[in-house]
Amino acid sequence: MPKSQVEPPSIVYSRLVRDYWLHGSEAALIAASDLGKKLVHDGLPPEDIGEFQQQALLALGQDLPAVPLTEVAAQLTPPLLEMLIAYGLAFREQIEQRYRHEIEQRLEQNHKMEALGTLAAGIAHDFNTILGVILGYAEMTLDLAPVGTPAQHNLQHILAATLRARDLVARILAFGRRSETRRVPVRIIHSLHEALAMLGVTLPPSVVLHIETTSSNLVVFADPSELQQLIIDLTINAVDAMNGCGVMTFRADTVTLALGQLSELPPGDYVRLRVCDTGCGIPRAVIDRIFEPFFTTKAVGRGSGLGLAVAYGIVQRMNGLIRVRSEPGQGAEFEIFCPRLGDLDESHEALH
Amino acid sequence: MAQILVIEDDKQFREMLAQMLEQAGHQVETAANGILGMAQFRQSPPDLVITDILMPEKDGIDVIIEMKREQDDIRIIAISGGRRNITPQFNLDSAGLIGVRQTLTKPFNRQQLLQAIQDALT
Repeated sequence: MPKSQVEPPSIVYSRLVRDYWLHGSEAALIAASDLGKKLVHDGLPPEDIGEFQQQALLALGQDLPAVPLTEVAAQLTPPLLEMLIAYGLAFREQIEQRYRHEIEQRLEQNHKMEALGTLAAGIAHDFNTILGVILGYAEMTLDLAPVGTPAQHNLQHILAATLRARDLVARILAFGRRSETRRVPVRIIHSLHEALAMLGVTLPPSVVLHIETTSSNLVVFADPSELQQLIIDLTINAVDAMNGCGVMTFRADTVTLALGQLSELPPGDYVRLRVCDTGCGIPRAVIDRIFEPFFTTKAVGRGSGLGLAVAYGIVQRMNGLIRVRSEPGQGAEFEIFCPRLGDLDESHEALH
Repeated sequence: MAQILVIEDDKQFREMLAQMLEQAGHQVETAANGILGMAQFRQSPPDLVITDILMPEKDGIDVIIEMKREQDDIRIIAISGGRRNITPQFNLDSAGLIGVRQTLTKPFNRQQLLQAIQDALT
């Protein structure tokens, strides 16, 4: 194994400084520059290289006791500068690459959403008309089918399937609604309570819901119905992941993001909503794909693969960010950031 | 029972609607687009018009405006399945703005249709 792979970087640097002192060679400076790049590649944080120079000087003093360190220290700065400059450039390049990759991923996701929205809205009219024909004839034929016969049973299934198809079209159409959203100041807690009340009767009794909030006045700029839809989609997703039994926690608070803290969001105040469940978690292999339209891990017929994609689109329209953390078997946490509007008067009745 | 004019460009939907209305005891005339619908409306004024919104040549909104201009108290039900980048509800909201009180989103079931007719005629 090459020596440089087993030696701590501070030792490698000390040797470079020694070489530079003894030979004053360009080679030592080039090696210092290479070391700087390698430290970034190895993931060494900037604070860990602060002691390198002092250690190198001490090592030099031990190896060559005759060298007057206090006098030569100033002459030994070139290797340090070479290493730090190379480190700084490589560090910056690494951050830019990482952000560029994340932003490209988000843009690609947005393009997919828009393409799907355009396609869906384009066919929705024809599709709804076709469903109308099926529904109408099935109903009229049901009149002719004697009670209790297989024909009646089969027609009832045709009707039920048609109604499912109608609901699916309505959900797909949610993608094409961008121009129709009416955004107003909304108290997120209000939307949360309303959405859960709507879901109330359909939620399994063995699912326990908790709501924790730091304030009742967390206001975002959103379409109230879309915000409800977002909460409903995340709740249904969590209930499915918990197989109808477990604890769901909604936590709403505010966070202040600094520049670059979340690469997709500008700095400022955000309302953060975290939706946690105690379900089966999300396998690592699929976690990057869960917001893609039509991606589902549920059995055929159980999920449309649209719930989380719709949720993603809604958060995008609120100029926010949705992300997920999960480990298999450890539940999942969806985290939503939306720009926060300032505190609003409680008497502001127009608010939702 | 009422005389109903159905204006709908989709042949299958139009025929289904006519059959459903006739079974419910109404007299039905049909037209395949807005231009033919207006001609039929003038030739034989109905008690009620059921019109699609998105149609080629002359859409339902134009049909409604023209009919209302010629007969202010005409009863109309607007139906829609949506269109590019616009949901059915948006189309029907537009119809509502020009004075249509009854609207149906495709696909609708028979009970919804018959209820809308009853509401429109009373």
